Amino acid sequence: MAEVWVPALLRPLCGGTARLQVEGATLGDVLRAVEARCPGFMERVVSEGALRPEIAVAIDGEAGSFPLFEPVGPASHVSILPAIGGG
Amino acid sequence: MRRTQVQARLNGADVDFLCEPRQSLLEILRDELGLTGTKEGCSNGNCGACSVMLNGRLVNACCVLAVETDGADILTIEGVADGDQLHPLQQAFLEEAALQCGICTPGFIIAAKALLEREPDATEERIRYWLAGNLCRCTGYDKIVKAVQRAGVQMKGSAS
Amino acid sequence: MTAAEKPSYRVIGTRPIRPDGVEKVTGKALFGADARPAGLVYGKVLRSPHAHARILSIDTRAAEAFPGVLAVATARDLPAASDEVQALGETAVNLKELSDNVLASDRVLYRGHAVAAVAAASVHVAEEAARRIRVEYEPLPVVLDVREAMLDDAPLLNERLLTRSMGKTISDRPSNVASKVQFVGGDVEKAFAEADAVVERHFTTKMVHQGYIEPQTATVQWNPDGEITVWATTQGAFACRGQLAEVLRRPASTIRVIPMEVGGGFGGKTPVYLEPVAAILSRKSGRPVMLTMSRSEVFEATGPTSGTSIHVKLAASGGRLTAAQLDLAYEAGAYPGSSVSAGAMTMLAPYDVENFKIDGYDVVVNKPKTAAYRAPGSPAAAFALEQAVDELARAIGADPLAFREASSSREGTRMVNGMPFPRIGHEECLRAAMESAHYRSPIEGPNRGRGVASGYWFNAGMQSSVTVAVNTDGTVNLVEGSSDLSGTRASLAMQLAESLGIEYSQVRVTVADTDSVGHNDVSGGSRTTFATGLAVHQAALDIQQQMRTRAAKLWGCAEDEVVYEAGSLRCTTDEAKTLTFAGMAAQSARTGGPINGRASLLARGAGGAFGTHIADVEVDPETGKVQVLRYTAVQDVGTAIHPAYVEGQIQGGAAQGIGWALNEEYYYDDDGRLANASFLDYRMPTALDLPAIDTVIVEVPNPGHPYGVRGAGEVPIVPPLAAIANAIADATGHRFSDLPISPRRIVETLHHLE
Ligand code: FES
Ligand code: FES
Repeated sequence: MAEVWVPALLRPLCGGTARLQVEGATLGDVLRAVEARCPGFMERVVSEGALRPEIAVAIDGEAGSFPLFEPVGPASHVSILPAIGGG
Repeated sequence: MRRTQVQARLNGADVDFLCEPRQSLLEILRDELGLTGTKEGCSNGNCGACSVMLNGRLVNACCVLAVETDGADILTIEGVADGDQLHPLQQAFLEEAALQCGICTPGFIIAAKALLEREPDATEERIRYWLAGNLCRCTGYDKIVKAVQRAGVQMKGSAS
Repeated sequence: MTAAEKPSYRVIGTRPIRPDGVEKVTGKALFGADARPAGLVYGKVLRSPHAHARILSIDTRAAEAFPGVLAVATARDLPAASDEVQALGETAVNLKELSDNVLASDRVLYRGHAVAAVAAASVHVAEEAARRIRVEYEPLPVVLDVREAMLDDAPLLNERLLTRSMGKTISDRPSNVASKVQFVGGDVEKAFAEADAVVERHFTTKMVHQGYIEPQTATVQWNPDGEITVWATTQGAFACRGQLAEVLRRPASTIRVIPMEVGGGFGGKTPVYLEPVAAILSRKSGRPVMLTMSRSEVFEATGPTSGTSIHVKLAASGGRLTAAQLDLAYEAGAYPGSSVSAGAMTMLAPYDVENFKIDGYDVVVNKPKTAAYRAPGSPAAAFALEQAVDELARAIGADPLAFREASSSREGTRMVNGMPFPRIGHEECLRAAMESAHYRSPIEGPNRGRGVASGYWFNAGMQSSVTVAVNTDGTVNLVEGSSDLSGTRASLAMQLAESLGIEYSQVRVTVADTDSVGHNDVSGGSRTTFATGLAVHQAALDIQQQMRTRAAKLWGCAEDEVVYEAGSLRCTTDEAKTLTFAGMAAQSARTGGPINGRASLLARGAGGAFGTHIADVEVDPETGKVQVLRYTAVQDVGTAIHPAYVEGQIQGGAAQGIGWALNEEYYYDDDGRLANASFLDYRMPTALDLPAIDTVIVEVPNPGHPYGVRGAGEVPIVPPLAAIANAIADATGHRFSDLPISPRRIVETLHHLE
């Protein structure tokens, strides 16, 4: 099970939880699994089949604007974070 | 605008050019004579990127009107090396890694040359004082000061 | 690290002369303003005298009629972006902002905002003609301070701007707050209630500029067939091309960006300002056009870094940091996009703090749009946090470095965004600082003090492409596309020589134009030596593989029996069969044709890094002058490829940080006029203002890079602001929470003048 770190501003969707354990072999699967438990989560993070430009994801410490097909390991850690903006 | 003819010595050779009264020496060097080694950082005398020697004096070329240089002897960075032989300052800047982006380098080399020719033994403090008219934003000056000290030792060695 | 752990390298860790060195010390290197295409003419930009105004009309007739004028450009010449904005969504909004910042269409948002431009045979004629353009403005109320801009009744820069947060609009009416970020962990209330000591303080910093010595300049030739050539001074030729393609709505392939040498950038030479304007002027005049900013234009109209307002509350318990409540408001300038999210995510990075609540706000104000500046967002955050940490250490009677060590992050510590750290080196930096001769020496004498501070930067990966051509004489040509602002040609050539087992002198490096190499992201985020270095290493492995295949065929053995080692090929089953790199290269034509190594990658495994600085100062209470007596910068760089350039990066970053701490600021009057837009008045440090900056390089290799590179350029600007402020507090007994700590501020404070 991957561990997902829910950012503070989205925790109200997840009953206040900061960490969730979900199944999923790709980033898309993981996010959909979170959506199943926290309705409304997906549309905050994804639009038109990709991460929103203002959102980034870190998978096992590697942050970036990953594609939804990015593989996620069974013990991976996934964080949702704001994209590092501007300058 | 009426242009004036100016004749001068530039890096050891005679040159003549036409210039408008409002044109700086920097502009003429770069835009008319094609010597772009002298750099422009501010055009008002505050950065030293345009340092050149004029009749043996260190000046900011952006603050000299080109018409004033009639009959003058000018040295720019392009005239510092002797053929394919680098000047000790140029060599020292390379060996001490005294440049990062390199935009300030020609100005520093000209300014340091003016100092070392008079005071090859200049102390660190003296070097820092002398070079305070040249800005470098990349290096924090440490390696520039070391390069000037190293070149000073070499210039003294070759002079004696 | 100890010598035993460190792999022994042949080339890495040596200090060869950089490939572009001779050109740069002889004045032959061509920087942005040194481009001289045939028929070149010059242009000048007309800028807004108002910090906020509606543009009612622009009349260019007098300028067009001025003798010698070849073309005039206004926003009307750019493809329209305004009307479809809302229908096109987010990217279109950004596009309009990008376009509007290049040439204002209906509104100017800061003084110096470009409004029109003129091209003529001489820059003097262009300047005179530009003055004849009549612009009718309707001035609007100005808002300059970040906290004032957040108030409900503040003048609005953009009536359509609503506050966004994590994919959602959270304000129900227009606001200058473009976005909000938040990070929460643990139980802050409880931790404060149980704390041994609590410190609470408010800090502010002013906008400051990167201060590169080479002003922005752009030369563009637009041919009648639509092919565009750009001679640019940019941190990223491809980013320049991409922005230009978007603003001009031209296919990227029709634009060729030639990267000239760059006279400093520090993040500021990433956005385009002049390129689209020069392009329009070239299209209209049929001539190549060069636009160059004056120094005051650079200050007024390019992107400085945010002024900030930061509230900090910290708690300590059991001798370590236990809770932090932080509120950060960053000025974005005229359009959204400050570095507040990076500030919020880096601020607590040095420490393992269980309980935290961090709020960050990105706020537009009537000042130029901010751009990246070395570790964007992190120095101001560290200025605030590291002073509060210092105060807290004093409050509980702990040594400031020991307190930091007790609270330090390490492998596995979670950042505030939930990311666990991989192997990092903050503790190593703290220990190296504690063991340094500097920290062990006493600091004595009246009005003298010592301060320390730590700082963090992520370091970036992103995209790089390189090709390596193997010549038949055994030399190689490395073609890369990362702008070299600091000697990266050397650090890349060194990695290639190491990976191929050949001499550094056998490698020639070219930074190619956008037609001649695959995509490369900007040289920024301390990524070049790491990420392009990774690409160079992969290209070397590609060459090794090709050579092994060919050697196997030559020798009639299996490919896996051929090893490539220290610049030679040998057959493991037949000792007599060996070939040097040069020997194999010489046979290219007979063994299958040219050997070219290639790599294109999205670099992963960037390693974040820490630094810890020590500053000794003497404060003159009468004049307010602060003399930095001694300065030591300790930094984990992973592996130093070329130690001299790493030291240079650390020294340069520290120098910028010292300037930021003591003198530098954007000083605005109430109408939004920048009162110190010259080098004379802005006062960057000179050689005389600085001491020798000692460096201590710590090497905790980054597991994500074959040679352990982390990146060196950005970390060193993070700690100095607080290190200096802490030293001044130690010297004077007064804590200065507003930057810059200028002589005037010191005198006023110490003598209760105000
Ligand atoms: S360009 Fe002449 S002093 Fe700056
Ligand atoms: S090396 Fe860049 S300004 Fe000096």
